[in-house]
Amino acid sequence: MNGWKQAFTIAKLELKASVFSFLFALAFVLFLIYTLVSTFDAYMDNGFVFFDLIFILIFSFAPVWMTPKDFQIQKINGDLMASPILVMQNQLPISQEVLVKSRFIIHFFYSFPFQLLTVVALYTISPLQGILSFGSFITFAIMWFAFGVYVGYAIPYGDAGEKFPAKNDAFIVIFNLLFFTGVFLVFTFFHILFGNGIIYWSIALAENWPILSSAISIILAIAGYHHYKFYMKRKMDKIDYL
Amino acid sequence: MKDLASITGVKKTIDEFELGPIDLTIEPGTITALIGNNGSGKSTILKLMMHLAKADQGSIQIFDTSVGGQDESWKNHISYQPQTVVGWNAFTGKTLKSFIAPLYPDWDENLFNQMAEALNIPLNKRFGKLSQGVQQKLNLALTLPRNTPILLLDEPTASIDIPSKKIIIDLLTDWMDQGERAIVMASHQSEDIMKLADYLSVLKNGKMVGTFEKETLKESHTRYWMKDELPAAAVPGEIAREQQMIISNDPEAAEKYFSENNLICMDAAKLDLDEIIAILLS
Amino acid sequence: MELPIRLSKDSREPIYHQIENQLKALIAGGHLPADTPLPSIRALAKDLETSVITIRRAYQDLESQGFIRTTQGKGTFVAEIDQSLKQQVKVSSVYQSMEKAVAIARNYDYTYPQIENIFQEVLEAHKREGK
Repeated sequence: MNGWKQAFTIAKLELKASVFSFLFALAFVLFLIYTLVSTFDAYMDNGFVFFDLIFILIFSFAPVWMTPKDFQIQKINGDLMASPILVMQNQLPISQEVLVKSRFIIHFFYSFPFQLLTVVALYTISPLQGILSFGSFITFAIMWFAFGVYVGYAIPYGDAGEKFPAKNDAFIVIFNLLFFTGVFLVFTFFHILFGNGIIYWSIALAENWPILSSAISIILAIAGYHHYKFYMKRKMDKIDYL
Repeated sequence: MKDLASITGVKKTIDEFELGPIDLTIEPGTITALIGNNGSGKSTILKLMMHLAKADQGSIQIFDTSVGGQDESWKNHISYQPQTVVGWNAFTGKTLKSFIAPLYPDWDENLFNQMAEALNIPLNKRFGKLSQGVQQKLNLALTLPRNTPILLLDEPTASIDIPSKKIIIDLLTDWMDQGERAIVMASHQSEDIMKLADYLSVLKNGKMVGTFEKETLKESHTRYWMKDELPAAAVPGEIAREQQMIISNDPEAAEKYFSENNLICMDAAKLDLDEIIAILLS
Repeated sequence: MELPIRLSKDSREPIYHQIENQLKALIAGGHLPADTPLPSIRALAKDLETSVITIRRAYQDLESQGFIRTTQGKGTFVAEIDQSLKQQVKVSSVYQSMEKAVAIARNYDYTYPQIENIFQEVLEAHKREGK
C-alpha cells in the first residue's frame, strides 16, 4: 500500500499518547457544534460572522490547538519551529514518503472525526435538513471535507518546519490576536459584500450545482494533497535541523 | 578495504559560520574522533552525515549511496546519537524501544536489556522526567543495539558519571568487535579519545586541520630541553619554543639538526595527547 | 583479561614494538601458556590507550613469528612455541636489557671498567639478597 501501512505504524506512537487530549478536543468540539446548531437559524436569516468563523476553524486549523503540547511544533533551533516528533523520526530509517504520510494520518485523526461530527450534527439537529436534500447535503459535506484537505493539510505540511521570527510568547499572543481580527474583518466584509456568509453560499452551491461543486472540490482536495506532499518532502530536503 | 562512508569536499555555511571543505573516509573497524573547540563544526559534520543539515557543496556517501538523494537506503546503515534529543519527552524508555527496535533488522534485544541493567536506566519513566545523565544513558541504550555498521555519537559520555563512563567505553569496545563496523564521534572527553579513538580528525573554526592516526601523533610530538639557548633559526618540525625548551613534531629531523649544529639536548619527552590536541587547536 | 604490559612513552622504541616484545617475554617466560586466549585487537587498544592500527601491527608480527595464532571467528590465542624460540627470546631480552644499561652508563660518561665494576656490585647484591 505504498507506505500507508508503515505510516500508520509510525503514527500510532503519537496517537496512542494522545487519547486524553483527543477526548478533551472532543468535548471542546461538542461545545462548538452546540454553538453552531443553536445559532444556525440566526445565521441563515441575518448572518452571524462568528458562525462562519467557528465552522471554518473546525475545517481548517482547529487541530493545532487540540494536539498535546509535547507534539505541537516547537522551537528546534534559531527561528525554526517544527514538529519534534518528525525531527526525531527523521533520524531513523524511515523514508520521507512514510514520514509525510504518517503526519497526514495524525492530522486526519485530529480533524476528520470532528468535521464528520459537525456536518452530521448540523444536518440531523439543525433546520439544515429542511433546506438541503440528502444528495445536496452529501455535496455540502464533500465540499467542506475537501476544504479540510486543501486548507487543513497545511498543518502537517508545517510540521516539517517553518521559520518564525517569534521572539517570545507575547509576540505570539499579539500575532494571534491580529490574525483573528484580520480573519474576522475579512468575513465581515464578505457578509457585507455578498449579503450572506461563506457557509450560506456553500449551502447554495451544494443545492444548485451539486455535481459541479463536488467535482471541483474533489479535484482541489487531490491537488492539495499532492501539493502538500511534494512540497513537504522538498522542505525536508532543504531545512537544516540543527 | 571498502569504505563505509566518505565525505568529499563538503561545505556548509550557517549564518556567519563556515564549515569545510571537509574530507573524511570511514573504514570498517575504526573509531574516528572529531576533535575541536566548541563551535568548531563537529556536531554539524554528524548532522550533515544524517541529512539533518544539508550540505551546500560536496557529497556524502554512505555504503555507496548518496545522502540526500532519491535512494534513501543509506538510512538503514547508520545510526545517530544526538547530543540533545527532541521528541522523546512524552514517552517512556519502553515505548521508545518498541518503536525503534522494529526499524532495525539487526536490533540486539539482549544488549539493550544488558545496558538498561548495567546503567540502571528506569524504562517506565517518561524520558522528559529523567535527569540529563540518565537521558543520555537511555539515548545510548536505544542507539547501540541498532547494530548498524556506522554509528555516529555526539558527545556520548559528556554528562555521565565516572563508573558508567567506564561501562560505556567497555560496551563500545565490545560492540566494535561484533562485526565490520565503525564509529564516528564528536568528543571533548579525553578518556573517550584515549581509550577509543584510532583516528583524530581535528577541526579548527570549521576548517579541517587534518586526520591523524593516534600513535603517529603521539610518537611524533617531542619536547626537548636544551643545554643552551637556541639560535633564532627554526628547528625542523618546530611548533613551539620557550627559552631552552622546544617542541618538534618531527623528532628525527630535529635530533639530526641538533647533532649537526652541536646543540646539546639534556632531556626529551613525548607529549601527552591532551597537550598535542591543545597545540593543534591553538 | 588485562595483560601486564607497561608502555613507556618516552622510549625511542615504537609502541607497537614495545607491545610485541613484552608479549614475547610473557609467552617465552611461561606467563602466558599455549592456548591462552588473548584480548581482541580492539580491547587491547582500549586497555593500552593505543589505536587498533598499532595493536594489529604487533599481533601480525607475533603471528608471523609463530608466537600467537588467530582462529577466524574465535579470536587470538598463544601458540605452541618450541623450546629454541623460547630460549631465543629469553636470551635476546636479557641481552637487550644489558645493552640498554650499558648505553645509559655510557651516556653518563662511565668508562668500560667502571661499568664492569657496577655490574659486579649489582650481581653481588643480588646474590646476597637471593639467600
